[in-house]
Amino acid sequence: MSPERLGAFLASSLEAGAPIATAALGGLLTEAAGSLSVALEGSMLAGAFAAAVVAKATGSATLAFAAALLAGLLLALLVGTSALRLGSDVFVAGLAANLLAPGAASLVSEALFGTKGVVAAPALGGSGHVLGLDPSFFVLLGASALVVVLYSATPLGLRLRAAGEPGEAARAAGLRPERLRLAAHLVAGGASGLAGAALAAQVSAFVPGMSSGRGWIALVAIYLGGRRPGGVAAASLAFGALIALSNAAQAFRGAPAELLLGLPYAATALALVLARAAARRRAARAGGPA
Amino acid sequence: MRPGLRRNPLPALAAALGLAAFYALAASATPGRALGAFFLGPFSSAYSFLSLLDQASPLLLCALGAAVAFRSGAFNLGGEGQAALGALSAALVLGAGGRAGLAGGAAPLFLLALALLAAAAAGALLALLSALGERLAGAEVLLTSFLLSQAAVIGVDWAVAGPLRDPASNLLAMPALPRELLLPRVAPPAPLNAGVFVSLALCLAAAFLLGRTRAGYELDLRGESPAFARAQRLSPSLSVWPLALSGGLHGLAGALLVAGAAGRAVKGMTGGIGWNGISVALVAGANPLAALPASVFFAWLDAGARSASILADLSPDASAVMKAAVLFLVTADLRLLAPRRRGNAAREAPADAAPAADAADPAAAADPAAAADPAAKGGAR
Repeated sequence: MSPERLGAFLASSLEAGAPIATAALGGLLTEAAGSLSVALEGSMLAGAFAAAVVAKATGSATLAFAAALLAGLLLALLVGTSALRLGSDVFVAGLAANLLAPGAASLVSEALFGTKGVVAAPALGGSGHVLGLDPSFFVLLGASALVVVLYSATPLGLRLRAAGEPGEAARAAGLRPERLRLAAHLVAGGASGLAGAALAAQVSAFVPGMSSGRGWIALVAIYLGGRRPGGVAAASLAFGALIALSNAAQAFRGAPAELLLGLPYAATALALVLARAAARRRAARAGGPA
Repeated sequence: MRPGLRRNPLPALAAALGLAAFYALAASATPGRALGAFFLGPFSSAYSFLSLLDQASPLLLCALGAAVAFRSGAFNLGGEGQAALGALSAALVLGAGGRAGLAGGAAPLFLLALALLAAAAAGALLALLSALGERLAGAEVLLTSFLLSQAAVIGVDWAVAGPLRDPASNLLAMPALPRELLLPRVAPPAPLNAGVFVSLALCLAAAFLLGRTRAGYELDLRGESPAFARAQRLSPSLSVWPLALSGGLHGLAGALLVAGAAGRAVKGMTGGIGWNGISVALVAGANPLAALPASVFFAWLDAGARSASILADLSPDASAVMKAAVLFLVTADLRLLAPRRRGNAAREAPADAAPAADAADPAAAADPAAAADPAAKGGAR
């Protein structure tokens, strides 16, 4: 592979991996707080849609990212309220958010633009590349760094993790686990919203269904990354490389382009099975429970 | 099945209808007309009512599949892909039969049976992969089933709109199947077909399996407590066959779509039926017999929104938001809202905030009132 092609491949891996990493790191907080959010997928789509609509209306990419953050927060608030205030199953509430986002996007799109298809937003992208990367990458880099610092270096992060410990220790220490979990959901929602905005920025448009399972891949990255920020980021970037690879393979003549899009999902499932099997073998060797 | 998943669904259903009414009043230029079209449109003629039942029939199969998985303690999130694979398999079998000229005599019946079987097998196989991944390696079913399903949907869409596409058609679809090979219609020209009898029979069969057999009893035991099932040395296959059955039911639903009103495999034809099946199963508390009215309710939301988009000026997609509202509320415990003060007081007092029985269940952990109240678990059964 020539250096230029390698560089381009690396860049597209990073661009594809960053949204997954940002969402996964946000999701890690909910997992650590003992209330894993599966609404990352829906928050991503909501963020992508909000970013495209606001960019189209105002012409400002900054406002667009702010709107995406807000959309992700709102959806997370809905999930958090349903799960923590009304006692819903947090998993089911997350599924509801994943159904609500595409439905609401298509309703709003039809009301605003008379179409429920692609929302083109040139203002969202097109400001050139920095170091060969889409500028949205650096937004996500900053957001991810903030989430990691929040998680590992602040009192709030410590409390979040305490809220996820089994038993009543956190409550006995005077913490309010429900509030901490809600905070974790909000961080995850906001991070995923920004991740969605980056997806939209990369193609300067909102495309229905454009999150296409990346929020779920982010969940897998949380587990494969061993629930540690560094591992989660590394697993996310590996999935990004996989997506970049299947995109690159489409360029070959005669390759079934649409079929290759399914590759990252099958490979992610396989990676999960292999990682679990390896962990089980390690545990068996160590004499622990299989 | 986790106890927190079984709650009274009526508030959720009422909220969806309230949302529908609010939407019709707020968004339509002719609110009265929109309201009438939404709520009564699907019942305005025998034809539209039979169309509604035609939508409910494959949805019921998906709900049964989701319910069987729930009861065994697993989340099958791959219904969409399992249904898509089933649709493709059925279309391939019927298409091959049609090309072989097997359209006369008893051949269609035989072919249809074969197509349904192939579809069920394809769906079951996909779900089986996830079940084995969990059994052999401990990979979470709810993640692998979704991921494999996503890959399957993409693969099926590619095949249907690519190599298998009917070049003579403008649709992204496989060739139309011969009419004689489709499921016969119950009351032509209404789209309801004989597939509804398959759905109803399987609904009764699932109710019998889960409620009246030893296998169903063991499946429930495992669903309530996998550790207890292990300690009792219940068959380890309990983590495998319920999921395969779930996948098979979803595959069958795909076959009903192809051999029903569509009469061919069309790109994207499953249209969220797997996710809706999960919602219906939750509304029904994973009870097969309750899934019957619940699937009709969900089909009503869709049919109502469609009717309001044709007869008035609403969007047919509005039903997606209403269905999401149902899902947000269906496992909620609205009693938590009423005694709000006492609930908070209980939360502050460690003695009252009984530790949830299952620390791995965040919903239960977040819900001390329900955990402290044994009637909440028993009453929902």
